Amino acid sequence: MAETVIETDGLTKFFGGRCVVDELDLSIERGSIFGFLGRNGAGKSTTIRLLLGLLEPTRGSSRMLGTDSRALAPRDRARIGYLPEGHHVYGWMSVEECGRFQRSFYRHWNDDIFRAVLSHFRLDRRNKSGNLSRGQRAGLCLAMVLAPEPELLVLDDPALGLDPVARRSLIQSMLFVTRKADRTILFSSHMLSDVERVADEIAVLDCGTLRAHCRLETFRRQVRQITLRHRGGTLELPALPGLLQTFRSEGEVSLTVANLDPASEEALRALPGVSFEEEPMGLEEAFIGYVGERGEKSFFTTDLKGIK
Amino acid sequence: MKALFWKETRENLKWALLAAAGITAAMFYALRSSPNEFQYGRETWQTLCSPPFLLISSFGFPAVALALGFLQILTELRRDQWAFLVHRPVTRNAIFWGKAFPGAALYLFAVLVPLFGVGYWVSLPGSVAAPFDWRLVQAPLWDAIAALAFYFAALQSGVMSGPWFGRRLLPLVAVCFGAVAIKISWQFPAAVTGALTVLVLSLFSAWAAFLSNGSFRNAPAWGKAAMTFLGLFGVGVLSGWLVAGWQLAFPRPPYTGKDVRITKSGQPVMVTQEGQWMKKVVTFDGAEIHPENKGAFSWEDFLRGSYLPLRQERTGSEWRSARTYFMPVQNNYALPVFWYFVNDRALFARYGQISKRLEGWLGPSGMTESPVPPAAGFDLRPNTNFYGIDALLVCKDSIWRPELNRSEVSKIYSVPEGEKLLGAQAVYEPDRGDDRRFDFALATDRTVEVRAFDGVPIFSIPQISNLGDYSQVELFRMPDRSRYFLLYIGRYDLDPRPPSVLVESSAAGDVAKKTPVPSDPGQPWKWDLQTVWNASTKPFGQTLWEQALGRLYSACGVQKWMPIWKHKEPWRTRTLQFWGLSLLFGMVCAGVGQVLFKRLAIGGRPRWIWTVFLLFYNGAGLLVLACLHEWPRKKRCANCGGRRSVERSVCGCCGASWPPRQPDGTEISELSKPG
Repeated sequence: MAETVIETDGLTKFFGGRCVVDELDLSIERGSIFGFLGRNGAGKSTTIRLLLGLLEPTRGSSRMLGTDSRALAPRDRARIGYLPEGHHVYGWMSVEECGRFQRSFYRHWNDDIFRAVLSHFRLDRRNKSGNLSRGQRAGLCLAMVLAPEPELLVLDDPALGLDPVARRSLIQSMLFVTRKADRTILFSSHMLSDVERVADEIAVLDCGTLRAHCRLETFRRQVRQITLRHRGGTLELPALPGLLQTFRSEGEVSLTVANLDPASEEALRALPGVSFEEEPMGLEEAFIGYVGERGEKSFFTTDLKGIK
Repeated sequence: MKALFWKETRENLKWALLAAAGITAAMFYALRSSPNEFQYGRETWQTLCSPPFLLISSFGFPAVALALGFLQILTELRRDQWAFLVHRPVTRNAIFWGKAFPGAALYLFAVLVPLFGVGYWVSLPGSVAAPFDWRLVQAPLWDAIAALAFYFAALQSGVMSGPWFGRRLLPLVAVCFGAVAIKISWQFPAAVTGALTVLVLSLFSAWAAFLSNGSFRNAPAWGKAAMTFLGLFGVGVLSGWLVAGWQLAFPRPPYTGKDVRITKSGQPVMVTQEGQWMKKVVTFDGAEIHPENKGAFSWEDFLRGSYLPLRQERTGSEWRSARTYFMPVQNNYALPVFWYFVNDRALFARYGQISKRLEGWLGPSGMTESPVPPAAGFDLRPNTNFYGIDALLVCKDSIWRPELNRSEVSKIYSVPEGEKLLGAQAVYEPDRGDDRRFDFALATDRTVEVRAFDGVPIFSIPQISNLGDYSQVELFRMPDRSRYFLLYIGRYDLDPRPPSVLVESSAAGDVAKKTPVPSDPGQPWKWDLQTVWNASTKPFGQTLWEQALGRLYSACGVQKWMPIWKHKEPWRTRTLQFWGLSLLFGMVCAGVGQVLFKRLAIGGRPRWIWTVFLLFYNGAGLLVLACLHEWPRKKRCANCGGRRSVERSVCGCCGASWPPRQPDGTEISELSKPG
């Protein structure tokens, strides 16, 4: 059985009266690349801070590399690389000084990796880090985080605000660290194409609640979009467990469903005068369908009458 | 750690340099803004102890400390930046010291370099027409040390979590105590004790705040203790501000007291004074008298006395005043020179107003026109202060009269063999023109005399027999010199206090009358609401500290202190009643605290410690507890309907767990958690 590197148990965080992480039970195994997904304010960054012991949980607990997050010692932190969102660097330091400053905290420092990532992002060591572009700053931060060769890499929305080229460079660098099989990456992102490219497993957080915790393929498989075409009028649908969204237009009902069981599928197929079509979904569409607004929407041309 | 030192120094050096430049400019402005005079209340001759200079050290230094502290911590506290810093494999200890050490060093650099730089400039001949003593640095130096607490308070306030008005504001208010103690405490040991206590508490509080990530609950025990006691100082300062505000809004009635005066017709009277108003004037027989042609008596209606001390009282030094080291004596714009009396050398020093340089020294052997002081100074009595123009210089066995316009000093009296000189002062004769003095009074252990400045005896009377009962004698002379009055003031430190005595004498020194002065019973003692409030709200713990410090200072010979069992009645009983009330209120607060402990989930040993704390620090302790402790959110329990803390897994009332989330069928859970 694979070793668990991150584990939470009823992890809960309140900010004032607002619950931002609610009873989170999660486990991540060594060697996996774990995508942490959710809308803005879903609680991803807070969860990461709780995992790293930077915030005190209201209740519940979490463990990183077998150690309680609240008791992470410097030697544990040395094994965990953390890249916070915003890619902060001290603007008055040069790239070289940033590296030297970061290196002073670590016993193990692979300068080849540091240099390789810098050159990948085409960074001049003499440049002031305050003059770097957002993408270059991200590269510098990543170089600083990767050079100590951490066992576990935690990246909080690393691609935020980066252009596609910088994002691609970032992912390439990130993959670089996973050449060794026992390295684990936990990263949160809004860029689902990036997640799709690298993640093995994902967790979807919605309003502080864990709604999905599965392999990427499973998520894509379980969230389905079905179009029912009919001859007009109002189509009465059977009760569907896992129904996320219904979109009605003339002669067509589009359903987004999670965990559609065979009996429900059979019931839909058996509706009289209705054709059953399933449309393939990418991760982005599946994610939007999964965490987007729920309920029924409609669009009929008759609604446009009277609008000039 | 070295890297953190380097980073913090590099990052904040610019602010320290800016602050140093600002402080230097302000210091020079304070020294140069007004001419170097010591008349009309200007005291720029005091240089590093002058009021404008001390204004900079009292308010400017704390402002620099606060600014540097907040600049250092607030710029780092952006969420991701702080997280990136503290996640590095380094202990919180190292992060705190990595910030605090360079930060404190930069603060000290920003204030001490200008201070010592300006001090050096002042010490250079030709800079200021006044003597210089490096001990003048002492007052602003202690201001700088006390203000270091503001730096630590800023660090703590920045790191602490919670709303700004509670545990974040309290340390900032608390450290004002140290700065105020240094500024207003007349006694050096008390000032330093107050400032250092607050400084140490603020350092430990800030350190603990870093270790606990800004949480009071997670702070180590010593950190909680430091934060709590610092909080007590904060509550003390807040209550002081409240009282000051209250008194500003509702001023107290003016001071009322009784005093013995002699009218110009030679009638001894008791004057009841309310502020400056002489409300009631009665003779010793109790008959009220009224002035002619005006509504109330004024000071001109009475004889002006000369005070002659009979005992050498131990006095504390004005440690924040340059007068401790040298005194301005006279200025002469015609010559033009300034005269000072330098205490350590017991010599007069003359400074040129134009050259601003030392021109010479005046001592018992005459004037020396050289910056090199003569070896022998005046043989002053201990604790002698030299005050003002035309004043007398009272030595151990002689009295000297300086005539500084002529750069001369002459001996006008030598004490006879076997007598001890106690004190001397000029005799005021307003009727001979504008307060000019021509005669002086002196007291030895055998006689009280009046002599002319040329030494001719005018009046002499033997000392009162029980001299040890009196602290001083005040001599009055009738304008026509026909009669003299000697008012012997009974010592306050004796119990019971000996009554003061008024001796009336003829010009020949024959005692005509000896009248005991009617004693002033003072305000009658009564228990009222304000007394009860004052007695009960003063924490018993504070009383204990005061007793302990009193004992310590007494052991060091700094001040007098008497244990409670040696106090006389009725003061002992009243003091014990005060303490009892304070303890009673402490017990009430400890009882109220039990409700808070339940709400804050404080149990076991901490509960006992807090209970004892509230017993000793009553209302102030409750406020500190309420401010510092994190208050857990509560939600309604689905099982019992009661309000339960969100921090606990089970309900405190019914023991129910939080209800599991109801699945809606959309959950995708493939990777179940092991176990």
